Amino acid sequence: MATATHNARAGSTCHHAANVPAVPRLSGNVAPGASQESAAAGKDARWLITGNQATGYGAVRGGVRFVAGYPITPATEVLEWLAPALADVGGVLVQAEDELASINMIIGASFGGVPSLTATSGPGLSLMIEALGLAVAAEVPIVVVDVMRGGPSTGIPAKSEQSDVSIAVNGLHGDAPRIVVAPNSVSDCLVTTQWAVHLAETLQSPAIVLSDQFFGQTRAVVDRPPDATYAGRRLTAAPNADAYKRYAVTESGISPMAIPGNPGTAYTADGLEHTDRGIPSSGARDHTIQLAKRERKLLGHEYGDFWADIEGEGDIAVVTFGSCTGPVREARSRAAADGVQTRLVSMRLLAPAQADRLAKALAGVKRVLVVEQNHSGQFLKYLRSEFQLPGEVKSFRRPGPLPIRADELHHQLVDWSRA
Amino acid sequence: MTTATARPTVPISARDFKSDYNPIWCPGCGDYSVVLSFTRAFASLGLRPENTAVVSGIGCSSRIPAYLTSYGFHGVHGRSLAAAAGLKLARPDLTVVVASGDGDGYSIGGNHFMHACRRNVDMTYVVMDNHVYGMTKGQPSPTTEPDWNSKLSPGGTGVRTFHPLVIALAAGANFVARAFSGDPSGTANVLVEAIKTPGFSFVEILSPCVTFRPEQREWKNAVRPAPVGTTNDPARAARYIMTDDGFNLGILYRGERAPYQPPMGRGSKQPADLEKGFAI
Amino acid sequence: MNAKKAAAKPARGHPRKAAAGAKSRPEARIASIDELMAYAYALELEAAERYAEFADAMEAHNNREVAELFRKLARIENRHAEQVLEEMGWVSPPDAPHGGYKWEGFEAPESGDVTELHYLMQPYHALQIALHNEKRAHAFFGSLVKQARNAKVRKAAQEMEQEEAEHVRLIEEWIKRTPKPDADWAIDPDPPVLAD
Repeated sequence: MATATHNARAGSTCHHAANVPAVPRLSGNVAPGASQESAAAGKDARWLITGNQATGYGAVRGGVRFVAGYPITPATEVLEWLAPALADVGGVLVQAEDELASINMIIGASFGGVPSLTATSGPGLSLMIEALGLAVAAEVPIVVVDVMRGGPSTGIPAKSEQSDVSIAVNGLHGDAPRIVVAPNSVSDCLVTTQWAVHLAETLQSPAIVLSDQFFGQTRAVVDRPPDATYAGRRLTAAPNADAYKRYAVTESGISPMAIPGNPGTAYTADGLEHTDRGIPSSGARDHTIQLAKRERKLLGHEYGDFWADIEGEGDIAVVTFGSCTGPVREARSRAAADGVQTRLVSMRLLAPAQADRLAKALAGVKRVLVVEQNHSGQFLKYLRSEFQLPGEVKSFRRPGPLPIRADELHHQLVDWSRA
Repeated sequence: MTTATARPTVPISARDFKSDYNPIWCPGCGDYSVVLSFTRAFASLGLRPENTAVVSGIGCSSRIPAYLTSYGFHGVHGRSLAAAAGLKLARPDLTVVVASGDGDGYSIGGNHFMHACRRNVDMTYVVMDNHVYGMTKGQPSPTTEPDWNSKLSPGGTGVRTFHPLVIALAAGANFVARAFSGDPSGTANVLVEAIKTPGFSFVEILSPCVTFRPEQREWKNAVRPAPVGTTNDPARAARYIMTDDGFNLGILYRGERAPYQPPMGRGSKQPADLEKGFAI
Repeated sequence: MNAKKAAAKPARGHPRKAAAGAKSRPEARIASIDELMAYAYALELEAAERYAEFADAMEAHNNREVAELFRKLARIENRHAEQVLEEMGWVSPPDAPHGGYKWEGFEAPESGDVTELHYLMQPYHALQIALHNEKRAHAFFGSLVKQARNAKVRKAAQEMEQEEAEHVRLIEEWIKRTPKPDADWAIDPDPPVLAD
C-alpha cells in the first residue's frame, strides 16, 4: 500500500488495481469460463447446488466483479457464496450498512465500469426502489436479485412466495422501464442470472432477477447446466471521442458509455432528466426524447428464444413463471397420461413484455390457466395489462407458505379439459 | 523494438478543471468559491480530469460535479457516500471526492456518513454546510440552530444541532477538518491535504447561503484559524472538537488508520474453477 | 446590501485579529520591484477573473444589465493586468512567489466577495462592490509604501497607490452617473424556482 504523495497517484493507495479490472471490457460474446471445458467437471457431470449458489455463479460467469450486499433471509447465501468466489476471481464483495448503501454502491461501481450485482429479498427491494430509478435515468447497468419470500412487509421471511411481481414490473416512480427475469428451476438460476448480467450490460439498464426462497434454499442434484454464451458487453466510448455525448440519441437507444479513466469524455451521470450531453434539463423536448430513448433501448432489443420455455401442444395452455414451473411440468405430464394435452409457457423474461411472442406461443389456444404463488394474482394482472390472452382465462393461485403442488394442477387441467 | 512512449502530458491548470457550464446557484452563494477551491486543489495535486471523479447527492452543493471537467456522478439524496465507496472500491486507481451539503450529508445521509467514517475507504468527503436546506427553499437542517424560525418549523425545531466533526471523529474518520468558502486558497490547501491523506478524509466547508441565511455574510468575520494544531491523538482531538464553536478552521485531526482493504484473493482462479465446489 | 463592515466584538480571551484570516503581512517580504509588480499583476488578474465569474452568475439569473457591467469591469481589470506586463516588459505572467501570494485577507484585495451578490442587484450595487475593491487595493499599496524596505520599491508602490487612487476616482464618477435603486429593489413578486 503506497503512501500518498502529492503527485498524480494521490488518493490511489489501496489494493492492487490489477485485481479489479480497471476497465473491464469483456471481449467477444463468450462468457468468461463458459465456453471452455471445465477441467473439474466433464460435460455430463452432476452437481449438488442450491439456487442461491447457482445465482451467485451465474453472476460471476456473466462478468460480475463487484457486489455489495446486506444480509436478508432468504438471500444471504447468494452473498455468502459470492464473498470468497469473487475474491478468487479478482472481484470485490463489500458488506454494506443497509440495502440503500448496497444498491448505491453497485451503481457507483458500475459507473466505474465494473459489472455489479446485489441480492436481497422483498423488504430490501422496497428500499432499493429509488436507486433502481436512478440506474434507469442515468443508464447505469446493475443486477438486483430478489429471492422472493412471503410478503407484504416482514411477511413470512423463511418461506417462498411469488408476490414481488408487481413491485418488480411496476414499482418505480416515473416512467422507468427496466428488465425483469425469472429463473424457472434451481439450475436455471445460473443461466438466467448470467443472462440478466448480459442484458443489463448490453442495455445499460437495471435488471431484476425474481428468484424465490424455494429455489434459493433448495439443494438439488442437477445436471451441469449448459454453457451459455451470455457475457455482459457494454458499449463504451473511445478515448477523446469528438464532442462526446453520454446520452446521445441513437437508433437502438444505446449510447456509448464513457468509463472513468477514459480521456476526453468526462461527463456527469445524472438522475435528473438531461440533454443528450447529460446536462440537467427540465424542458419538454429533452424529456420526451430521453424517455423515448430509454424505452426504445429495451423494447427494440432482440431477446431471443430464451424469453420463455414453450413446451407441448394443446388448446389448454398454462402460463406461469419461476418455481411454479416444476409442478406445472409434472402436472402436465400426468394430465398427458390421462389424455389431456396442454401447452406450457414458462416465462423467463417478464419485462419488457414480449406481447407478440406470447401471442404466437398461444396461437390456437382456447383456454389459459395462469398459475402463480401469490394471493392477488399479480402475474395475471400483469399479463392482462401488457399481453393478449386468448379465450377463457382462469387463475390458479395461492400465496405462500405452501407450495403449489403438481397433483392440484393435474386435477385442474383434467377437470377443465372435460368441462 | 520501439515502445510507445506516452506524450509528455501538459499539466492541467485550475482553469482546465472548471467546465463551461455556469452554476445555477444564487449569485452570492459560497459554493462558487468552493468550485474555485476544488479546481485549485486538483491542479495543485497534478490530477487529471479523466482520473478524478466527483460524486454527489441532491442539493445546491451537490450540483458541483457538472461544473468541473472531471467525471461526475449526481445521484440520489443522501447516498453519495455509498456510490463513491462502490466507485472507489471498483476503481482504486481513481481519485474520488464526494460533495454534499448539511441536509444531504447529515440528515438523510447520516447513516452512510457514520459508516463511511468507520469503513475508511480512501476518499475525501466535502460537505458544504450552510445550516439550511437551500434547494427546497429554507427549511432547517441538522446543523441549524434550534431556535431558527422557518415555515416548516415555526419557532424553531427545538432540536439540538448535529456536530459533524464530533461524529466523524468518533466514527473513525482518518482526517477531520473545517474550512471556509470565503478563503478559497486556504480551503484549497485543506482539500489538498485531505486528498493526499489515505483513508476517509472529512472536510466541512462553511459556505454561506445568502438567500435563506443572509446573516451568514458575517461568517467571514466569525471564522478564525483554530488555536490548536493538527493532532493525531483522537482523544485530544475529541476534547477540542467537543468544545469547538463551529468557526475554527484548520485540519483538526489527522490519523494513521490504514485505508479499507476489501478481502482480496489473489484473483488467480477462473470462473470455471469455481465449479469444483458443486461437482459430485 | 452593501458589504457589512460591522466588526465583531472580540470574544473574551480571544485576541481579535485585524481581519478574518489575516496572515503575515506581505510587505515584510517584498524586496524587489519584480515581486511588487507580480503582486500587482496577480491582484488585477484575480479581480478580472472574479468579475467574469460574477458576470456569468448574473447572466445565469437573467440579470443582463449587471452581467454586462461586470464584463466591462473584467475587461478593465484585464487591461490593468496587461499594463503591468507591458510596463515590466514581461512576455508571460510572472511566477507566484514561493509559498504563494500572502495577502492580508483571504484573497487579493481587489477581488470581489461573492457573497455580496444578489440576483436582483442593480448596477449601482455592482459599482459599490467595485469601489470597495479599488479602495482596498489602494489601501494595500498604501501599506506597502509604509513598509517598503528600499526606495525603489517604495517609489513603485507609490505609483501603484496613485494608480489605484485614480481607479477609485473613476468608479466614484461612474457611480454619480448611475441611478440609485429604489427601496424595494430586492422584492421579487415572482421568485425564481429551482428545485431538485
